[in-house]
Parts: sequence; C-alpha cells; structure tokens
Amino acid sequence: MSTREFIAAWKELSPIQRKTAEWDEDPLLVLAGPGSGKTRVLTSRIARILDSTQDKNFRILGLTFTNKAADEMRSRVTNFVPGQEGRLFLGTFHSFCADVLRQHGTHLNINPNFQIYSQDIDLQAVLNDAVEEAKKMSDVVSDLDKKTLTIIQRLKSLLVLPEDCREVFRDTGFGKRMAVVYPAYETELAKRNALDFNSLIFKSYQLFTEFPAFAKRYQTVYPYICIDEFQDTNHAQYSFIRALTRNQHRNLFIVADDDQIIYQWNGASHKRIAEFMKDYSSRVIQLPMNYRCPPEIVELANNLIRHNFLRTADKKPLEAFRTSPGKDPVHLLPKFPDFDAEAAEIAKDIKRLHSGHLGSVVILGRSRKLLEGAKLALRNEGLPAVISQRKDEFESTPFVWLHSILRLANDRQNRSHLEAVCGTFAQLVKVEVDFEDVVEQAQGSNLGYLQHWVKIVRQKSQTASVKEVIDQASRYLGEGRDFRTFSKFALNWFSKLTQVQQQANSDPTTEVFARYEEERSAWEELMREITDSLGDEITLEAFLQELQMHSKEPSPKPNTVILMTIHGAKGKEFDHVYLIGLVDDELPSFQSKQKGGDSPEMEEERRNCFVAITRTIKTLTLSYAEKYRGWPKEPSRFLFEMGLLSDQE
Amino acid sequence: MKLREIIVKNFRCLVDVVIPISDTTVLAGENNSGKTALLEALGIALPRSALGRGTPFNEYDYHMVKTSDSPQTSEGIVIELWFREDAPDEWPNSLVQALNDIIQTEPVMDLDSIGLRLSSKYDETAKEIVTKWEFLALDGQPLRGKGASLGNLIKFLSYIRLFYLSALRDSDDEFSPRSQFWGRILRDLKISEEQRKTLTEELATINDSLLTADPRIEQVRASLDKVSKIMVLGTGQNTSIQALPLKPWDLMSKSQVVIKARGTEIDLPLTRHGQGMQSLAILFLFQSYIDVFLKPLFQPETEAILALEEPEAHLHPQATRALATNLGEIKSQKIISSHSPYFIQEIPFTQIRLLRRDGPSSKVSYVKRFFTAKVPETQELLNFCTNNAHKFAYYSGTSTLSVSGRMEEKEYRDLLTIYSGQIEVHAELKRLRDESRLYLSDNDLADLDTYAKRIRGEILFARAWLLCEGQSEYLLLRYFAELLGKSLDQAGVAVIDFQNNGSPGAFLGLARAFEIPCIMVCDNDDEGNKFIKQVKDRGLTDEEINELIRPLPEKGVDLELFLVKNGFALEYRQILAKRNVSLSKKKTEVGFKDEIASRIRTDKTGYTIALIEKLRSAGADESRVPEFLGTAIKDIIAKVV
Repeated sequence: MSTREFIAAWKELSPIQRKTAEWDEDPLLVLAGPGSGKTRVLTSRIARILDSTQDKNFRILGLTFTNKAADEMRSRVTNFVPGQEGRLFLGTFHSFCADVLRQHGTHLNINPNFQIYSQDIDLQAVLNDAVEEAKKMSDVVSDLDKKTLTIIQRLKSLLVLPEDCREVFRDTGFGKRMAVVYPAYETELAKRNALDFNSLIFKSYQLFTEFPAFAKRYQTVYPYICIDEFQDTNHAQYSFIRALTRNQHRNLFIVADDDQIIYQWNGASHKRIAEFMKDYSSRVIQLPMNYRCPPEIVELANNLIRHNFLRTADKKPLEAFRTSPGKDPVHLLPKFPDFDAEAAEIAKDIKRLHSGHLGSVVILGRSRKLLEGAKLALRNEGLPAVISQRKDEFESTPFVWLHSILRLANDRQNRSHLEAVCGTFAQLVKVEVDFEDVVEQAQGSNLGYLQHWVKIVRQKSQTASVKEVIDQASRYLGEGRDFRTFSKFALNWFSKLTQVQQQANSDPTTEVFARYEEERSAWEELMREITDSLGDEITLEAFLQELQMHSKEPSPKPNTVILMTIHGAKGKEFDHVYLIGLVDDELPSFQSKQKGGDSPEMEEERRNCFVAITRTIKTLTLSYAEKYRGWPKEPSRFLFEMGLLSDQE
Repeated sequence: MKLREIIVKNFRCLVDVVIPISDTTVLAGENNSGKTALLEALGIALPRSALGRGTPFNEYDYHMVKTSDSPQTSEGIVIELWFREDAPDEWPNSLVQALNDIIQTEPVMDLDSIGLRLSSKYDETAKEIVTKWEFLALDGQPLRGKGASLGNLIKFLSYIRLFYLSALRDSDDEFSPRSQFWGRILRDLKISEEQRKTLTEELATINDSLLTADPRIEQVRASLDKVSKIMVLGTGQNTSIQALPLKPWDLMSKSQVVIKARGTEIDLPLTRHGQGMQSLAILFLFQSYIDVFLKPLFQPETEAILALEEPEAHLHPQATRALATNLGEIKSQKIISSHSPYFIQEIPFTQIRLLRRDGPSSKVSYVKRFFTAKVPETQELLNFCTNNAHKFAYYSGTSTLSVSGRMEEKEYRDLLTIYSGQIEVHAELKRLRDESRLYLSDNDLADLDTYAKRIRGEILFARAWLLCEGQSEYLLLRYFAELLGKSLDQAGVAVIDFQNNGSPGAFLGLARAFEIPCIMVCDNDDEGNKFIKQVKDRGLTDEEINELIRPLPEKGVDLELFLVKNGFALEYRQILAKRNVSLSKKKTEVGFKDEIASRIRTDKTGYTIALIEKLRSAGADESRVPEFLGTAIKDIIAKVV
C-alpha cells in the first residue's frame, strides 16, 4: 500500500528517528534540536498512522507554528500516503481555531461568516470606536485609552474575560477603565462580526470549556494530536490544548526545543515544556543529532547554549552528524569601524563568493533596521535583494480588485469592499462607478451591493470585455457561487489586460500593473495552499478567512539575496548565512541588557543567536562593527561565549 | 443513525408538515391524504447517489392551488430531515469521525444530530429554479465552512440508504438481475477464481453431453456455421450451441426463487404465485438484503430506512396482521404508509401519524410524547432542568424547553418565577402547560393499546367519535342514528364504548392528539361524574367540557332509567314479561320505573338488543328517538371533518 517515496523516506530514518516515528499512543515529548530531522519524523509518523488505518475514519490533528510549515508537511504526507489527506488537519493554531469556530461558533453567538482582522490598523479603528462608545457610558474613560490595544491583546492572550479584567491590574484606577474599555472593544468587534487573532484562540478555548461536549467531539474525531514547535506555544494556546484534551485525551505527540524559544515576549516560556510533561506525565525522546550544520557550527552552538540555565534538565548537547567540509565554514569578519562599512563589506563578500547563486544566501539580523542598511549596501553592489516580511494585503490594482470583489460577494453590504471594487475597476477598465450610487440603489432592495454594482456597470459599458467580466461575476459570485472558477477567469482576464498594456507601451497607467506579476504568483500559491489545506470544496468565507491569516508575500525571485529577522528564519535553513550586527545592544538587544546578564530576556537573546547560527548548511559569516548609528558598541557577548572572540583580545 | 423528524413544505399537498419519526412509523390516512407524497419526498431527499445540478422535482411537485400558480410563483419546496441521537454517545465513534463536518452537537444535552435540507425555489437573479442540498446547523441555518461542501452529501448517503418499496410491487421487477436488492445480491456473490474455473469446465462438460444427446443438434450447428463462412469471420468452427450459460455469472443471473405450491410437490417460480405471496417475498428479500449485504456493501455503520407503501396490498386480513408483527424483525428504520385497519390494529398508537386532507393541503397529527416551547436560556432554567431531568430538558442550540409529561402546577409556578416579569415567556409557558395536560402517560397508552386494539384500526380512520360508556349505548346510538336516517358509518363517525377499551380521559387525549372531533355521552350518576372529572383533569375549559360532555339530562339518571323514563317503559315491560320477570310494583306506584330499570340492569346488553329488535319489528320511526340522544347524534355528524 505504501508509496515508493514513503518506503524510501522510512528507510532513511535513523534508528532513534524511526523509534520516534513508530511511537503509537501515550503522550510523548520529542526534544529535537535544530537540524535533527524533526519534520521528517513528524511527517513519517503521521503517514505511518494514516497508511496503516486506511479503512478508518478518524483524523489526525497537526498544529504548526506557520502556514508554510503546515503546507510543507502536508505536501510530504500527501506524497507518502496519497488520498488520505482528508483525514488530516495540518495548520496553525489560528487556522484550526477558525475552523472550529466556523463549525460551532454559533454557540458563542459567533456568526460563521466572521471576518478576521489581522492588521493593527483595523484593530485600532475598532478600539477608537469602542473608546468613543465607552466614553458615553463612563466618565473614567478618555481618549488616552485609545492606546490600550496591546494591553487588550495581552489580556486576551492571558485568557482574561472582559468581565474579569478589573481585578487583574494593580492600578485600580486603570483596572476600572479597562473594565469599561475592554468589553466595549469586544462589543465593537462583535458588531462588525470580526475576530482578532487572539480571539480565535480565546473563543475556541471558551467553547471547549463551556461546552465539554465539543471537546469530546474533537477528541473522538482527532484521536492523534501532534504539535510542532511547541516551545513557542503561549498560555492561551496551551490552555486551548488543555481544554480540548481535558484529562481524557492523552494521545499527544509534541515536538519542541527549549533552546529555540524566541517568542517569550509573546507568552512562550521554557516552563511550558515542563508543564506539559507534568500535566500529561509524558515520556521524552531526545533527538540531539544535527544533520544540517557542519560540526564547527554545532560546536559554536553548544558553546553558546550551555550559558543558558532555564532549560530542560538533562538536555543533551547537539551531536554533529555531518562531516566537516574541510575548509573552516565559520568566518568571523574583523571588526568594522561602523555599520555602513560592515554592510558594504558583507555586500562585497556576497558578490565575490556567491554571485551565481544568490538565492542560497540569507542575511540575518536581530532587527529590521540592520536589514534595511544591508539591503541598501547590496543594492549599491547591484545585487538583487529582498527583505522577507509578512504582507497583510495585496497592493497591485488587479489583485486588490479580485480580493475585494470576493469579499463583497461574501459580505453583501460592506461599503469598504464596495469602494475598493469601484475604485480598482475604474483603474482597470475605465468604467467609473460611484460607490455611493450603488449603496443608494441597494437601499430597500434585498440584493447585495455586488448585484447592484453589476447592474450599474452593465448600464455604463457595452464593451465585450467588460460585459464578460460582469457576466462572470454575476454567474459565479451569486447563488450557487463558484469563486475558484471566477478567480481562474479573473487571472486570464488580467493576462489579456497586460498584453494590451504592453502593446500600448507608453501608456502612463502601467502603474496599475505594478507588482502584478509577483502578486499573481502569490495569489496562485495561496489558492493552492489553502485549497490543499481545507479541500477543493472550500467555501468562499473559509477561503477569505484563511487568506486573511496568510501572508501575501510573494516567494522570492530566483537569484535574490533574502534578508530576514531571526524570528522570520525560524524553522528554515540556508546554505550561506550572514549574521550581522553582533554587538551588545543589537544581539543581545538593548532591552535584554537592561534586564541583566542572567535575566530570562538575556537567555532569549542567546537562543536567538543559537537559532540564527543553526540555520546554516554550509557557511556561516558573522560580523560586527565599532559604531552603530554613531554610538560605540561592544562586540556581542555571544561572540565570546561561542569562543570566537576571547577576553584577551 | 436514526431519522427523527421530517419537515416538508410546499411539496404537492404537503404545505407545511412536521412529522416526528420513530423506529417504526406508520402513516395512516385515507387516499390522497399525502402518505405517498411524504414517502416520495423522503426518497427524493435521500437519493441513491448525489445528483448533479438538475432538479429531482417535476412541475407538479410544487404546491399549487390556483390555475395561475406555477413553480415560479411557488414559495419553494423544502424537505428537511433531522437525524438525531436519542442518548449521548449513541452514534459510534467511527461514524462521528467520518461525518464530523456535518454533525452538530447540542452542547447541553450532549446529543449529536445531522440536519439535511433539500430546497427547490425559483431564483430571481439566476432566473431559474435553484435546487440544492444543504446540511444544517441546529438553528436551521445552512452550515458554513467544511460543512457546506457538497462532498459531504455523497459521504452521508453512504451511511444512510433509503429503500423504497412502492405499493405496486412487481416480483418480476424486484427479482430481476438489475433490481435494487436481488440484482445487487447476485452481483456481489463472490466465487473464487478456482471455483469459477472448475464450474466453467463442468458446465462445458454438461453442455457437450446435452448437445451430443441428439445427433441432429450437430447437423443444425454445422449448417449455421455457414453464416460465419460468408461473413468471413475466420477459419475454424465459429458457431456453437449453448444449451446453458457457460459462465457462472450468466447462470447466476438466471437464478430464480421457487416455492412449492400449496399441497403439491411442484416447485413454482415466484412469479407464478399469487400477488400476495409475491409481495411478501419482496419484503423478506429486503430483510435478507439488510441482514447480509448492507454493511459489506457500504460502511459498517450504514443503516437502512425502509419506506414501504401499503404493505397490506393483496394480502388477506390475517396475513396483513401477521405481516405487521413480522415487520419488527426487519432490522432497519421503517416508515410505512397504510390504510388498512387490519394493519393499523397491530401498531401502537405512538407509532401512528395520521394524515388528513384539510382543503388543498394535508395535516398530520399524532400522539405527542413531549411538548416544547421556545424560551431564553438562563442558568436557573438549566438548573431546573437538571433537577427535573426525568421530565424537563433544555436544548440550547434551538432555545427549546421540552417537557415529556404533564406539567404540574408547582413546576409551572417555578418556571414562571425563573422568568418573572417576562410576559411573553409567561404566555409561552402557559401554552406549554395547557398543551402538556393532554399528555398520555405510558399507562394510558398501554391501556389504550391493550383494550382498544380491536377498534384501533377503525377509529383512526373515523372522522369523528361518539364516545359512550358501554355496549348498550353503543348499540342504541347506532340504532337511533338509523332511525334518524343518519348513517354513522357513512358519515365516518365511530361510536366508541370507552369502558371496554380504556378510559374516557385517555380517549379524549387521543382524540385531541389525532385532532378527531368527539362528543361523549355518559350517565348522570357518580360513575358519570368520575368520567367528567377525568376529562376536566386534562385541562379543558368549562366551555369546552360543556360542548364535549353530555351527561344524561336528569341528575342521578343512568341510561336504563333514562330509557324507561323517555318512552320505552312499555317495551321493557313487554320484554320483561316475555322473559317471565315479574315486577313487585304497580304501574302507578312510586318507584315503578326504578324497578324496571333495576331489572334491566341485570343484563344491560341483552335487554338493549331485545329492545332494538322489538322497536325494529314494530316499525319504529324517528319520533321514538329521545331528543337528548338525537341531538348528540346530529351534533357529532355536524362536527365531522
């Protein structure tokens, strides 16, 4: 029954990896160091269970930290056991919770067609309105409270209910204000039928605790639960897992590395792993083998991390399983006078060594500022470079239009989507429709804005191509809708438009198609990823919700240097890693230094460094300078801890 | 997974019906009352496989009344099916796992359910009739997310198989190789490769011996082979004669069931037996199919629903009754339509749904085992339900409070307190209390099922009931109606002597449940007052009771005395004399009439029969009918639905 790929992958597992992949039931913690092949172990185990139970109906739940990781694992499992992907939910906590709430949210008065607000700007608008409302209700609230967004988010991540928040604050006056503002914020979100990221987890947690029947349902359906990158799970996520499994369901398979916690600021804690072991009396398997990095780098990593104390007792040091390439893979560049010089030399170094294969190079920095400086330097050398970052919305006119029209089809009376549709459509085909006209027409009608927009466009333009767009929109976005077919049509239409554009070379409106190509590939990629995850028959609202949770960042063009923050590099690997800005106040950060050399914050910085260097497959280049933004800085303490600098120097 | 409720709207004569479904449900009713429409609606909503975009309805399926009506103007057909757990964890885990995306959980009661809606309605924007299947949330809204995907229907249909046996069961069809059970059984027969080979060889040998039995066959064959020479099919021998199919499957597909004819040794093919035998055979074929083939062909959890139209067709009364008892052995949910009193006789009242035509639409009535009201959820209410879990339940998914029994005054007051000051909720609770008074307890039903068995079939098909105490009243009322020129049978009025068949309260509850108009005539003595009190306990208003219950007009009078006092003293005296019963009092003495009455009480029925005979032979006319009884008869005929 097993595919050739699966048999081959299974054979490649080391004895300890195989033992882990053969783990059947009972709670297990897999302490897996960087490059230990944990993804392979996880996917092999999932594939093995699915493969041996093809006649069964139960499903496996796999929770990951990023959508990309989920997508990668899903395609591996699909490759191993084709046809069984319907029995697998692989996705982020947020994705899974959104799915739970779509199915059962009505019991908490959540309309399944909820919107997900992923951007602070939207949440701030919600809070502003909430504060205005709250001011009417209470004298203690003032405009000052419009600055409490992070506090509200923190409360939610600590699972504090609006009605309980007064007690949480030491400052009673502030507690009183939050006791008005936080509920008002929640009311405002509900009014908009919207959820923020934290409420996805919080509401699902509430559902399972208030109605244990649902937890029982999910326990029945998902007898196997796996969690990847468990170390970065925060309080809310872990409580959600507790609520889901209660004490009945103990069949958890957790993969974690307490040396790679880098989301402490978001509520992750090294204690969580211990908590898990205690709550579930789990067994432990350690996977300290490193198959990724050259032994020299493994040694640096071990040197570094042994300075941390807040980690699992008996944690084994990494064992290098790769052989040394001979030439020393680690380069510490001599100190530069300032960051500009550092960036310039890095750029030159990359040009000299990696010109033909820029795609295999990554520049890692603790902060975005450093990356921007480095990107400038690369540009000066004529090297293509891109800073990898989350992108919440599409930017090019065609895709803003497509995204907006789908949102409008799903949310019949949303003015801002309508406005976006009208605006972008005018840019694409020169048919001006005033969105106020549409709103006016729609009043007292039981049709949505989209149908009225279609009517008005039909009156205004007779050209064949516009007519076709309109026909397709009313055919596929109305009753019995098929948004995927519409999306395919739209992409074809865009292609035709760009061809026309190219022929009329000098057209000043080419602006309309700026970033079109990259967003097109992002759209296609997202469409595939989301339908792989939720199935071909995914409904429009589920698609839009899922889309809201995905970054719209296009995959980098070939032969382009990628610049990333260390957080962005989590879970990834690269041939050539440049780690820049290795000075105190950068890595470790200024804030952690303030907290003291033995503070948990300092340990988090150390783990950041640990994560950064262990991304390396072939070479690691480290650099630091005398001055940053005019301020003199000391070389990073981590350089000393790794043994790359010694105190005498 | 059991079907527990069917809701049909605007489908033929079913304009708006909600029908609870039990393990066995019998749809009783006259012709044209919507029984077949209901079964067919079920069949359309549960097709054998998911259909494409086309509609399974034809234009006459849309409920239409006026000539200007058309499917376009129809409010649209809705067929909604609810499958529900009766107890937590009833559905196997593997089923819950497989259908997770469409199963809804009632969180407070921890009960799972699946709602499926088929709707078909003209869509203004699309300018066509849009037909769609949707799975539902508990509040009746279509599911969003994964539950909305169409793949769910295909999956779901592999767990619920509906088998429809129409009234016109033809064994020729049902036992053909392409039929739903027999064909499926034949096709699924597994013969091992080895056995197949052996069988093929053996068949070839038999074929050869048959052919060589008479040399002339070979001559015919050789002659026919010339065809292939002309058509140039190749060299060698191309034509052969097969006396019998040479492949095991061909042979199997010719299989037929033979049953010995009564009193002979001759095997007769089923199709040569009578219609009744054929009809029965098809039913038992279904049973064996369910027992042997259903699960291997679909899923281990797959369950069947048998929609059976008129099982009584072509069967004589005893066979009909035997069949009704035998149907219990078919291990599937059964929804059966019938208009045979013989069949209905064997069915407990709780399983019967009575369909009746009401103008252009049909309505359904049945014995309610619980009553419901929509009230908002509060913690106090949940506590109240937990403390009275034997009787009260709250379904938060639909905000429904249900009471499975009669709501007592204390319970009513407790509930009012929970919602103090909320007038609308109070009104709803009052309605619930009043309705719950019609609850028929298990004892009531057991009594009715035991005593009223004989008349069950008949009374359910009646259009009105005239309730009376005993046999004498029964006989007299029928006779007086005859004198009045009103045939109770023709009018559809059943006279029920409740003392022999149950209690007046139970019959009244039953009449209410099945929405059958009734009038009760009873003695005006202690016994009669007891009956009246029983009825009062069912929560009827004085006005309703006055209309419904007719005690004999004089205080302390029973039927016998009433008759003696209302013009039949002479006939009774003659009858008593004939039977040599002497009276101690003289005609003019006080207590004379009482004495006659007390004599005839010794053999109430006997004297009643004698009285009727006497009146009949004397050519009595309507002037002899006591006004009180005459009015009751006229009134009940006027109430006929």
